[in-house]
Amino acid sequence: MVGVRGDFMAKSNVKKILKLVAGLCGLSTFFAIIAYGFCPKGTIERNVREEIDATPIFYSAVEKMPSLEKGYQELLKIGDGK
Amino acid sequence: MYSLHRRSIMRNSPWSDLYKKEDWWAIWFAFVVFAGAVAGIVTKVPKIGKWTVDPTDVFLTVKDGIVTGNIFISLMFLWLGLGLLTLIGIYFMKEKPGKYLLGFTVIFILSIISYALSHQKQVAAWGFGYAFWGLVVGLLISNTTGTPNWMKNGVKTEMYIKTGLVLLGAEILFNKILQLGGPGLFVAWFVTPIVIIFMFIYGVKALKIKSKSLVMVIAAATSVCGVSAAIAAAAASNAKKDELTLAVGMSLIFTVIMMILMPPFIVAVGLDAIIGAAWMGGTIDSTGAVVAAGAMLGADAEKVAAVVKMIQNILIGLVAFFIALYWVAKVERDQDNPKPSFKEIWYRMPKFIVGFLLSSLLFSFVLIPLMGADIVEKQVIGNVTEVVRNWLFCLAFVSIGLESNFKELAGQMVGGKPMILYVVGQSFNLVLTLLAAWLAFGGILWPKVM
Repeated sequence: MVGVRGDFMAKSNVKKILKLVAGLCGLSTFFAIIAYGFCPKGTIERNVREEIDATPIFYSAVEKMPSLEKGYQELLKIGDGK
Repeated sequence: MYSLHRRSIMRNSPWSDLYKKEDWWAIWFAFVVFAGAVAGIVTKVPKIGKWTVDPTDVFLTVKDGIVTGNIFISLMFLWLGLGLLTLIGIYFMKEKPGKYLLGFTVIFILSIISYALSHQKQVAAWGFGYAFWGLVVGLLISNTTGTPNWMKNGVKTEMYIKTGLVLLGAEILFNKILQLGGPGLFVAWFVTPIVIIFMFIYGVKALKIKSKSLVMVIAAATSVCGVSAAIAAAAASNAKKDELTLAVGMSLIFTVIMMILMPPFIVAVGLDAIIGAAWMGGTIDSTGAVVAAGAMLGADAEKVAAVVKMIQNILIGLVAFFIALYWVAKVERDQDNPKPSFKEIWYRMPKFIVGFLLSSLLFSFVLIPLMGADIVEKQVIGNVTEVVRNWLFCLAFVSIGLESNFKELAGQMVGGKPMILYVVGQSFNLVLTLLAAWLAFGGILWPKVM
């Protein structure tokens, strides 16, 4: 009985590990495609060329935000004719 | 089913809540980080570096193109600092400190891997950040081998999210709004509440989506600022983790699509670059993608897009507060008591939301006037609190992935209703924001900016 159960557990573990390996292969392929392969023209191509990081989820993580803010205020002043 | 936090329905909130409840611990953890940063005890928290071919480059510190050192030691200190700080809370919340520390350590390593994947230069150009990779890495483990029990002790999603949100409060600087004038404020703040309310009514009444929290999280992600708004709305509306996963996943995919398609569309139809930039600032979910898309239309357009998004970012404090208020007063109210008193609302209000607003007020109206905007923004926020907040969110996304499974996610997508909600809501957002951008930056309500 124990042997049958142990056998079943071992098969189940092998199945899980195979699933993990398959998942890792899929993930690695996806990563390789976007990291080294497909790079559409336009925004992504420019981001790569200019090393623009499009990942920040909040303004405080955008490195050049202070200069963008300053530049925006200057634009408003020009608009106001000051 | 999991929820981001379970609200006490007890009418009395004993003093012991201050050291027994996760909501309060989120505030204490964040305020310890604030105190350390303001006092100058913590001056820099390690950031994962960029890499192209060799992933080990993420551990190098580079200045002006020259390698100046590595972050191994400071990463160890970060692991130790975050681990020990949260361990105090774990101990008082009567959980198992030793097992937590082991699970936390592995989740911290998975977070480093997720961060590293997001910092490959071309991957970063696509906009697939740590939230995406954290979820994917966690989902990969939980849906193949399953998350081991010993690792589950470190999966404290709510604690990481709530602490991260209180830290995020420091980045919501109301004084900035006053400096940035009317046009950006109009585009960001006029449209956002209308879109949230429209999407909520449309999702609940027209699409008849049963989970109001799912509708609210998708609405906040679409109308405010993607991932960060989704996290705040999920925590405020007691959303399930797979609901947050779904909203974040849709937001990340549409962010990439909109970042790629909107600039060439604006050029093709001959829309004024500044109006187009304000339009993208108000509609593309993630801030990094907005700046990247704005740059495609020129230097001035980049500034306008970035600032409109920044003002929208600042709105998430108020949005989270009102969602929490609506949830305790309406959605989760006691059926026998249709009009809850102020006292009851206070008892049931998630306290970390109060911490979130308090930290925003503290930084906006006390620390900046006392210490100066430059020191607070660069040294306190930029070098410390923002970096710790990102690490906590990364830990949270790995944890969410470790707790989610594809079957539950597929269950949420039945009938494609969440996708319909996102697409209809985003379409409404696009139309309304274009109108607002034209009124604000087209020389109608304010003088043209250039």
